[in-house]
Amino acid sequence: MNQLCNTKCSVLAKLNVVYRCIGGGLKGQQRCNFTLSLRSYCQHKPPPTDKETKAQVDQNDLEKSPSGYAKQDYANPILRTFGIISGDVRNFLGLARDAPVNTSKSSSARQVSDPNNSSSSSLARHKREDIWPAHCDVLIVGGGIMGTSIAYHLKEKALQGLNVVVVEQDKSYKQASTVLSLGGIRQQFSIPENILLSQYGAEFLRHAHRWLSLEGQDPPDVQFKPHGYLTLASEKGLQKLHNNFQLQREMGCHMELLSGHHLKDRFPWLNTDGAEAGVLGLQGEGWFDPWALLMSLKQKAVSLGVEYVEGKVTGMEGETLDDMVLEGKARANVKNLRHAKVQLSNGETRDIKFAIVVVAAGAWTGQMARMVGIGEGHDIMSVPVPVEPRKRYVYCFHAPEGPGLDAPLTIDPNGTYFRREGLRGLYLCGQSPPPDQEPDTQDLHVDEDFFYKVVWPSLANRIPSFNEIKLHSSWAGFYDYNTFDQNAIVGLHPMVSNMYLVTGFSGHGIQQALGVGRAIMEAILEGEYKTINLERFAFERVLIDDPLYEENII
Amino acid sequence: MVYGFLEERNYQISMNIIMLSQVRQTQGFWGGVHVCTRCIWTTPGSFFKDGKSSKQEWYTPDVAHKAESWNIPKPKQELPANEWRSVFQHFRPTRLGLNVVHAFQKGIDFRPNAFKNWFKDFQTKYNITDQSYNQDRVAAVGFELAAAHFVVHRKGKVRFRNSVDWVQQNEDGEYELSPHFIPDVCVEAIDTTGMDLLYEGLGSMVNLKHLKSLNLSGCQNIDDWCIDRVCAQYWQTLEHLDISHCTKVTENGIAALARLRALKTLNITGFHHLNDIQLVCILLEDSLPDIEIIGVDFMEPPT
Repeated sequence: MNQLCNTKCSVLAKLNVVYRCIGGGLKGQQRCNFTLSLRSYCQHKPPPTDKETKAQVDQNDLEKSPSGYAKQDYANPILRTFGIISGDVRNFLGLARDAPVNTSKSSSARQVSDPNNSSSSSLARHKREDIWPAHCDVLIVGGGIMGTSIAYHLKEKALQGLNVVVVEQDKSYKQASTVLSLGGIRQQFSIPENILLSQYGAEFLRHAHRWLSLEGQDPPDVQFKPHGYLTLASEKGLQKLHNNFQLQREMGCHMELLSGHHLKDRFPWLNTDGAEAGVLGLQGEGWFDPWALLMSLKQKAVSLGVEYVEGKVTGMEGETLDDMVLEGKARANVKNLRHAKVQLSNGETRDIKFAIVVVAAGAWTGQMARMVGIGEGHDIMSVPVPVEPRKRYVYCFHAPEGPGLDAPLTIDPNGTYFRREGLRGLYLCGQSPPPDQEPDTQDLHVDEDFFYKVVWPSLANRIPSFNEIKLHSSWAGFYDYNTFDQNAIVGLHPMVSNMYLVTGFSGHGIQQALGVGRAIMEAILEGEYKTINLERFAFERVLIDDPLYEENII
Repeated sequence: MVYGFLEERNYQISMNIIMLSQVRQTQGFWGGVHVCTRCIWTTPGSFFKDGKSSKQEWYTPDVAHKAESWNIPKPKQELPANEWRSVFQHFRPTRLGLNVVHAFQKGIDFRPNAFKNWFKDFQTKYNITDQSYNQDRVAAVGFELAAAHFVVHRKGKVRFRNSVDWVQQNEDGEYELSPHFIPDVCVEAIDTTGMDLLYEGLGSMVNLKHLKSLNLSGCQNIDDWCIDRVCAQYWQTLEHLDISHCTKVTENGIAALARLRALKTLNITGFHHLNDIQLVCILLEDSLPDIEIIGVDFMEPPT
């Protein structure tokens, strides 16, 4: 066979030419693998210009790359019945839907010897088709730590009583803030609710090996490193530090206030010029592995029955309720969202009907809210959700003469922070840039100049042994930055009767995710917050311009 | 005489027992202060109110907060204004809570394995409540003696400052510890081998100003979070720590022991299989120059 694959795709056609030039030198399994890798490469080809060919190509796309979900659109109920039953029979017998991928594989496999044939067809046999969740009770937009935590708490409490679906656009979480975060947990906040949320987070992590374990598997390990946080304050911020320390002590946190020579004695590697005092968190503070937490939460949620869909929500529609009115300076009818359009990875768009939607899309929640009309309407609907992505860099450097094991996550008065990473002299550091130097958020490209010009001088000033270091690697992640007051926005939107907003954490989402997940579960199932009252974080404070500032944002 | 009365939850009854029973004269000598026989007619607080004995009890348990099911009247349900309910309101069906629905859905698993797991969970819950911080115990005898009572009652051992002998239960389960507060008594060493110490149990050993030695070996429920708590509570004074054979501790916990600034001896027998344990030991030596690490051979290169 001279052709590698039967295709109308121009890119693959060119590759067919190349293949013919090679002389068809690949044989058997090699050829199957080559074909598969070509196909996956060609998923991201640019769209053709002509409309007709676009439709044709779309059709071919659908044929070529099935979404993994059973077909939903049938012409009439009889065909639908027949289609569903035959799909079930196929799934039961373990046969996959007949797709060109398989035919090309089987056609090329026909050329080769029998062992390879059996292996390629066994690859085909394992493709099961899932039933598309066309309706659910709670739709969670965003499968990061917030969405997964909410899904877990909901399903854990309601078991089969609720049908929960989580829509996540990237199964590999490449741009999700969760997995790019440092994974720190601290109780050093200035708002009592934030402290309570972090305390529950620590409590949950402590019990994670029991609560998130699945039968027959090793209990999950979040790799908690109990080193504490050290927040330093200059003379300007000394009073605030004292007030926060008092509050934290009252809430039951185990902290210690060090000042003057006590600070110097306790941490001899620290340069205390300009750092008048510091609060050291003694218990329940440190850092852990956010990927391990996310994966174990997700596994547990899936085992409880949460359905994860890989797709992007492109629209949410509903009805305007004629009997529910919100009246203030103006009158407006309350909306009720009913169904969401989800675009799958192969381009197909499907619908999900829901009763309640929780928008936990992280840095893109503002965009998602605009889709519903928040920020684009009149009066209350003209106020957008003030959350936008802000890019933050994390740099990893090697310092052989660094502070060593006894270093908490230290936060300088000007916002530079660092922590130890591993045992071989690596450290992670970062700093929030000043408001006028915010990097662009098109992609996750890292600016190393920022490290050499801003972060390193500040760090070397605070810890003299960091004068000789070597930059090892770096990465960037998005904060779901609340431009209004850098605090969480949690709760129902006043104009939409069934949409919960869970966003705006501005860098401390990972430690509050578990507490917020439980709170949203209580709000959905019981109608009110039962354990931690997050009413102060409602969206209404944006409407009445009453900011709730969190002072300890890094 | 059994000295376990401080472990009882209801101190009103226990105080009465003290008053009515005869306290044996002890020959013990703690911190240079003799524990004298108490006449049954004096109240425990007599040493505090200017040396004069007073009829008033210096300690009353807080019944309002410690309401049991039998000692508080059921609060009368306040009806809102302009509402009237007949006598049949007492038969009104109450809203099913979520926990009830959850229990119905989960069902009862009758498999023997499930029963074993349930019983284990039940025991764990009991142990957690049993070992949690008890305010009344501390109010009765102070932090140091409360820790001592907590440990010794659960088959652990305690040694006081300026004393060589360990206080522990004898074969009959009896032990000698003061049932009243004595100033200047300090616990210097705690040995919880043989006692299944939990994270909550560490909370019953708080505020020990001179604890020098802590032996947690063999306690299977000690994990990294317990190490965090140990470091938080005793970082200023702890000199000897033994966590051998605590299987749940990982190298993250052992690395965190650098926070114990006064640590001189660390026993980590049974951890040689951990990843990078030798590197952790070397780094601990860098961080705590006086430390002596027993149990892991890190001077030899790994084979």
